[in-house]
Amino acid sequence: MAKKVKISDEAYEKAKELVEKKGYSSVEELVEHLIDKEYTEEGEGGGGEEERLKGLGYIS
Amino acid sequence: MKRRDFLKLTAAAFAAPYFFSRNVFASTRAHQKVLVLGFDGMDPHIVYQMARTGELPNIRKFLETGYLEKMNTTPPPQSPVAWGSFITGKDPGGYGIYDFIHRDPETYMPKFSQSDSIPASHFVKLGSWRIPLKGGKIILNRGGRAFWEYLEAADIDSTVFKVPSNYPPEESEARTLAGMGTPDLLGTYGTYYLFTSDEKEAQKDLPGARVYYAYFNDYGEMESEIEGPANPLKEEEEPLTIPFKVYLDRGSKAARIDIQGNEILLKEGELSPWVELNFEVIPDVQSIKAIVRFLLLDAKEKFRLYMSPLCVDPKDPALPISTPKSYAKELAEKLGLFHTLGLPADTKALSNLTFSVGDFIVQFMSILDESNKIYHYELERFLSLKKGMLFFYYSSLDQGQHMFWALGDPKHPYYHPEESKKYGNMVLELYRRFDKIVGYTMNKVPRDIPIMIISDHGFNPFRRRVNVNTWLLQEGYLKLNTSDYDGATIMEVADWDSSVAYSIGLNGLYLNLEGREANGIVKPSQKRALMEEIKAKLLALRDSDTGDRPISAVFISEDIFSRDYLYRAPDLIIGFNRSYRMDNSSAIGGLTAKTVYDNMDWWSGDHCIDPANVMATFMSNFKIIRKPSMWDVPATILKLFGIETPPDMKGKPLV
Repeated sequence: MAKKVKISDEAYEKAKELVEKKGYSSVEELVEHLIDKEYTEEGEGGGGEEERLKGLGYIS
Repeated sequence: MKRRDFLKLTAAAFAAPYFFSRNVFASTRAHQKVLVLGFDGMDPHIVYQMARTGELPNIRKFLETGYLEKMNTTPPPQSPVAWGSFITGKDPGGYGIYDFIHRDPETYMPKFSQSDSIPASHFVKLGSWRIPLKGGKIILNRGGRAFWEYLEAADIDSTVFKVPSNYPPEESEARTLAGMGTPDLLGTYGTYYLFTSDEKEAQKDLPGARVYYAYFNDYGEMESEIEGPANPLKEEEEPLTIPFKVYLDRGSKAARIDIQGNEILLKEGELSPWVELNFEVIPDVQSIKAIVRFLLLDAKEKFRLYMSPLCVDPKDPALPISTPKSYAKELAEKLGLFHTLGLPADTKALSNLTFSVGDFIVQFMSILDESNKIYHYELERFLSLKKGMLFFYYSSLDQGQHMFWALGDPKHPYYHPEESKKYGNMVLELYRRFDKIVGYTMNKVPRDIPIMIISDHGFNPFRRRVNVNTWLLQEGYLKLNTSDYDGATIMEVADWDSSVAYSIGLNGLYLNLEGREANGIVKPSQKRALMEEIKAKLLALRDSDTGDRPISAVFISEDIFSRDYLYRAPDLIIGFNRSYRMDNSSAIGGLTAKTVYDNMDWWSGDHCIDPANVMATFMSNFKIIRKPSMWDVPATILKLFGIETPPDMKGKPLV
């Protein structure tokens, strides 16, 4: 079920501009895309550091 | 020496008297030259026993006119910590390295302690390219002033080869090459590649490895590519790749690898020479250079090809690995390409069972040979100088003892009788190899040049793992938002609003402190009592399977370290008893079902324990006036050159 999120008028105007420029179909699609991107990066960031450290041998 | 004797000597208490020769010279004048050999992980008790029984004839001869002593090392006795003390003459509070792994108090995430990478911050877009305007950089986190800076000021030619805790190498006029802490070109501390025709193996997710399925056509040909570092100029940061082709001749158990104009012929079990790779960032304009070695593991029924991590090419380094920048190139041009990765022997490949013990030994010995070649070159140069200091570091004794310990230890849960028949004396053999290095040195170096041979810690068996995060959970100091925690990390499942302590690193325990941790709840006024309470409980912990105490010492950082970098320190440093060490996953915030359990890994010897259980080695060909500590060595080097000890050094000269 979809949830409602409140954002400022200013942010909404910026979002509409981005929808036009980047070719999104709606503000909702833009927001979902940005959240997905952040979520993925967060996950990669965590795993990435762990993977980096495993090269040391001490914790592999 | 037989294996049972080896076990006896490593289990014995450190009560034996050590060598003190009466024929040693007292160093009372300023010298023109000083030589320091750094043998990471050399255990003084093993040296003593083997020298006493005549198994280390050169060291025995060295000690006829010299000293062997157990040396105090840092809490915790980890290489970047202890060598940091050697570099600065301070305790860890004076340079801010307390563990291989620190944590970010904002996120509770583990992070590498020795350096930080700051990515480029401003870009301009040109089509699909993303050009950095302001470059990123790598920062050395080790504070304090390196002793060779004082030598520079006194106009003394200095070479510091691969000392840990010096990546990126501190700006200096000295010739320095970075060692432990130097990453590969993926930004990791060693990620190897495995190309395998075994479908099951190809599906494995191995730590510190990239595994690819190798598909061969009917003509025995396989095409694949090496995925390198991300293209720094592309927004999507897609990996740079290099295609290569393999021709397999199963009949003669050999393969040919064609890559970027190189044709490499390998027999099964053979290690290739260094191969230079060129990852093109902008074709014909900019590229990233790497060096790798291949090892053909299997070439009959299965095809299995190992490729080493993408090492920085010393001839054209993509990362800062030496001062001056030309030093790495000088060595490569004079002696050929060499390992630049901080921890060069691929211990993960053996832990993951990608390597057999025999495969590991092939790679391992090539590294020791390479180190010897560079040492011989540097020693000749040192001897040709009128005035100079040479520090030369070897990693092999440390990495070898980590991986070979169980082969000579029938009490180890990972003891393999079949492998032990063939390789059971590897640890002792390694000490014999290092005895030869001492012999070579004695033959070359005139008697009146002061020589110190030091290690940063000793060694002991690693038979049982202790998950301190699981223990904190059981004791109620760590709270979770789930009951299903086996295999999870505290970053995923901790309830920080009600947790008072957590563990990150191989010896570190932190309080969830208000004003420091992002969701800290322990008030500064509660801190002391809580630390004392946890310390007492840790010391009382019993291994329910054996009845032994896994922890023999707990240090409260603010009581023992100087204040300069105390803010980075774990609140408590855990000193494990012999045979015990921090669980691998706990070190990066992981939780396991059991608190204490068997270590089933070729990584079977260790030193990240109570420093009193793994004291370091100190040997010299001159008289010392008191029991040595790691932080005394730089003050001693300076004194030998007639330079006063800087007032901020904790260490004092041993002469």
